[in-house]
Amino acid sequence: MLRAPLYRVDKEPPSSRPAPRLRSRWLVVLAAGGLLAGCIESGTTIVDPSRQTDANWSWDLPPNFPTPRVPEDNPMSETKFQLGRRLFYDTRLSGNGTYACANCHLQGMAFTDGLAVSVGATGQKTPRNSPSIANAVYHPTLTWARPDLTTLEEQMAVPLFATDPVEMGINDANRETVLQRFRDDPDYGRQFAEAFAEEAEPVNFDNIIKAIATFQRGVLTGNSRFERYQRGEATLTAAEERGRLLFNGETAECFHCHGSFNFNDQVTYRGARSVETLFHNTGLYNIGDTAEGLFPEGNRGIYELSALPQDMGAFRAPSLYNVELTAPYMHDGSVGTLEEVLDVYAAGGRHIESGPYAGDGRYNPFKSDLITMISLSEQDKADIIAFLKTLTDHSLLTNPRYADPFQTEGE
Amino acid sequence: MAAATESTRGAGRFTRLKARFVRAALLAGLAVPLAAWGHKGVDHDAEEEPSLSLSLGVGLRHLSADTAFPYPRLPGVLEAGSPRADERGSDLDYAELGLSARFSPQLNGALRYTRHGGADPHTELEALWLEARGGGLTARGGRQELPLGFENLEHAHARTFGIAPLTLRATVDEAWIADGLRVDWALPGGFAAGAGAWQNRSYPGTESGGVNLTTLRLAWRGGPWHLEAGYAETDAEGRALLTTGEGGHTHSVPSCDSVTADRVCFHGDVALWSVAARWRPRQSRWWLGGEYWYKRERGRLDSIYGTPDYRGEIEGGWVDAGFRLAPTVTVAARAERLQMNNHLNGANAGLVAAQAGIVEADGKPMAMGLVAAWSPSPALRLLGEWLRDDAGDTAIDVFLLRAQLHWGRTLF
Repeated sequence: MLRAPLYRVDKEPPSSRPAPRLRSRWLVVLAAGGLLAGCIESGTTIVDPSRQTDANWSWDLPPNFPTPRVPEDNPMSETKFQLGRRLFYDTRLSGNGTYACANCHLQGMAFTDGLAVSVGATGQKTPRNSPSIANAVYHPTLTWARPDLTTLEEQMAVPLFATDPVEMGINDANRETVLQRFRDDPDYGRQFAEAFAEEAEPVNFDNIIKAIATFQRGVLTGNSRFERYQRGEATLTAAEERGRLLFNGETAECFHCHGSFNFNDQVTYRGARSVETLFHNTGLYNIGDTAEGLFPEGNRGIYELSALPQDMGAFRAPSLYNVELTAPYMHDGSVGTLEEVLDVYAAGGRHIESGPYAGDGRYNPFKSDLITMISLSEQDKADIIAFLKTLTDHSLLTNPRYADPFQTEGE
Repeated sequence: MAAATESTRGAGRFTRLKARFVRAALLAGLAVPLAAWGHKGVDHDAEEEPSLSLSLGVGLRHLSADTAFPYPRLPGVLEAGSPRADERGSDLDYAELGLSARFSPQLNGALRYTRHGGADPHTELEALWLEARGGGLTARGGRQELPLGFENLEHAHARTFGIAPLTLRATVDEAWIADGLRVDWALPGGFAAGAGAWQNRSYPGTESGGVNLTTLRLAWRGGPWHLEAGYAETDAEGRALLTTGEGGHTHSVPSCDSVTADRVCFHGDVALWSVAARWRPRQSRWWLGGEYWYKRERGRLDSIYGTPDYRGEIEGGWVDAGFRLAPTVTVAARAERLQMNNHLNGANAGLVAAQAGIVEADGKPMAMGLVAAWSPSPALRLLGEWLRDDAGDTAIDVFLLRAQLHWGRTLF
């Protein structure tokens, strides 16, 4: 025997009343129209207290950037930013009065110096390639391999006071001399007094560091053509678009280490739910092809601090903003061009056939699992590089807000 | 090389299309004799006798639209799960097996097990309940549709319109089914009241391990009128919205055990009100109706960018009208509207809103549809539907053809 289906094919069963007059239908229509008119106000309201402007500071962030995290004991202020900018470019902030922070961080080179490794005030070479200071505010650890340096204030002490290698060359013997240079300058006296109004003797190294850190936090890059493309204000060429897809796809896998808004994998900001501090051995070295996977002495990544075998050759992935301008590449500037960088990654590491560093980095036992041989055609590489060049923020290079104030004053 | 790859992809698509049509043809071939069987008639006489009935149903569909449909996300609406996949083309709509049992005039039950086709094929136990009635009281326990409005109570495949109202998608992901117990009382003067306690399974809440959803209902019937007011309240402790990845609709809500770059999670309370009215006189070939839904969410969003406080409101509704042209032919029209607002407060609230796709909520999506249904036999229903949908960037026309075959048999 057949039964009715479980669901109703028709609407409600008819009622037993006769049909009322047509007026009822219009009542329904009117009531329904009222229902559709709506009661709530459409729209999305966003309140972000962390971006609210106050008398001292206003963040001018690209739309896709989160609000930076700032230490409570060194809040942002415009006067401190301008003081820090002046100090950043001032050669008097070095032991011998010849060297400024800006010597290794040139605005026109996206705040790098174009050298394989940087040179300090005394001519001594450092083991590392100069990293850009742009967007450093988002780095949870600073420099290439120092998980213990988590604020720009802590980091700043390294170039100021380091003795091996010497960078700015300030030491116990010349500390007071250096400070006196600023105490003797009335402009500095006024700026320090304004920036640290609550202090009776504001010209000291703590405040110098705080001011420079403030300046660094304010140096932001994020107006590249790629970002304008994301905002619908620019287009990418076919090659750049192919490169973008390769970069973000599982073929080239670049995004694994360069996937955040800052195109790296170590970011922190206000409200961040979790902060990962990842370091990677990218197979650049494997000196002697030993089980230790050796990197050059004195430049062995976070192994230098931890002495753990698995930390051999592990360095922080840098942001790729302005990468077009920051050659040479890698922590030691040992790869000259973007094309060579891609060749290294496509090969799954670097094979050095002769010399003191001879060894096959592709088989470094501590190489990151993310660095594997990738099948990239020459066209693929060209497309990825085309995409990487869309990350250049040309406004950063000429922004007068970040420029050398002594040059500006001289004009 | 590229051409060869494209050719291979094309061949793959053709093979999949071919497989779909072969599958559809096989199902249709199976269904036609069943339909002929079903056409012999349905016996309604033995409803008071203990019985066990089996039913089988198959639905096929063809969806056509200029752009991907349904929309991956409704702009401005904090949805959940993965973005919706494009469902255009021909496919199995559903295949279902039903059992209904009458143990006594006061006790009956039902089961419905369904295979869904389309971009996210899956099998689901959609209904499993037992109902007892007596003394003006009806109690139904088990898996069932929540008593909110009229449309949600109607099994999705049985609805006259195959495309769910925008409001239902925005508020309950087209249908809200849960496990629980509802009790309804018949009151004097045509009134009825009800309450329910449920273990939630899906959006707008989250899957829970216990009772976390309550419903209330008040109804009135008088003459041609039927009015329903409903209320539901639940918590959503970790309702994930996937922000990246391939389209593929998931009815289960992904995990919020860890907050990663690909998801935004909502933690908070959800309250939902519905009001529905229908006018259907006995001797009229017309019926008119409408539903209004309002959903309010309060809590916080959890994203890699931060955890801003969140308040959201969605309201919308539709009016529909039907006309029976002939004993086997019905036409119906529906006009609908939706609007919403969101309020976020906290560090990086703008980025979280952008990640969740709720920055742009100024639009007031509207849609208008027509459907014609022809039932040449009790076992067969053919439906043609047109929808003018203005929920996306531009208005689009959507066409949906459905064929539904149903066969039922009393086993004893």
